[in-house]
Amino acid sequence: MPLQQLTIVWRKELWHPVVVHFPIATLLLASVVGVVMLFKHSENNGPKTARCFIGLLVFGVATAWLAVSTGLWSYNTEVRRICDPSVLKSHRMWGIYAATLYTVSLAVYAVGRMVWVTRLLTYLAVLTALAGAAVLTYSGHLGASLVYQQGAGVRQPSADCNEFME
Amino acid sequence: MITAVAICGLLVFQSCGEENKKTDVVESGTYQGVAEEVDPGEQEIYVRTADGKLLELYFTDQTALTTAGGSPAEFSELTEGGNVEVQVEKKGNRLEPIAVKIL
Repeated sequence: MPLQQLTIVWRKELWHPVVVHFPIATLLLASVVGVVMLFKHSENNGPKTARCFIGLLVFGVATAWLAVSTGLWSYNTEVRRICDPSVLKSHRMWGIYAATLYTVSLAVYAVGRMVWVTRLLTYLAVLTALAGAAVLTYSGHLGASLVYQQGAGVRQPSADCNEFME
Repeated sequence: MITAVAICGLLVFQSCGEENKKTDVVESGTYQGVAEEVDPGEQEIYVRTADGKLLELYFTDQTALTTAGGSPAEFSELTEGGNVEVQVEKKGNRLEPIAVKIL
């Protein structure tokens, strides 16, 4: 197959790695900011960290579900190519769990801000975000092992690299 | 209450997911069994063999699907609960269906 036909547009399994790094970065950072927020009580820093926390969560949760969606889209292709599909299934399961936990964290925090402004709900939101971070890290580890150990989504060039010849 | 909803949500995901299905990996060969689940969307079947093992098989372009008489068959002819004979090749921890015969 000519190299021009192998670009990202034509390979649906490549949309997942394009998207997935955004929620990994923003949601893990949101967890850290959440912990910082619990210890920042000053008038100047408190609102800023709170805005930062909710901003990261909103962007992270939106892109997390987009990542789940693109992952499910490429599932059928990769499950037929890799050597151990059980890792792919675990990655899918833990990815959905991570997205769910951060969604719950966002919902709890939003409710706490809009309806009952209680410290307890903030603690609960941050705790859920920390649980999400642990699950997200494990899911990320599984995703990395799929790529680097099983070559998921990775196209193998021909032995003579002929398709790269000018 | 919110935590309970979250836990329920996780359980729903877990119960809906295929990852709950405990499947087996067998050696390359030919096996007879019952098509316990047929998924036309994913072009996938689960086959329960006579010795109770559950084989998860994703069809590929190379999978030959035939009737008992040997003539080519369509995936839609596979029915849940129907008897099948599958020839599989073990590749790592994955089973590749080489041939599936509807009995």
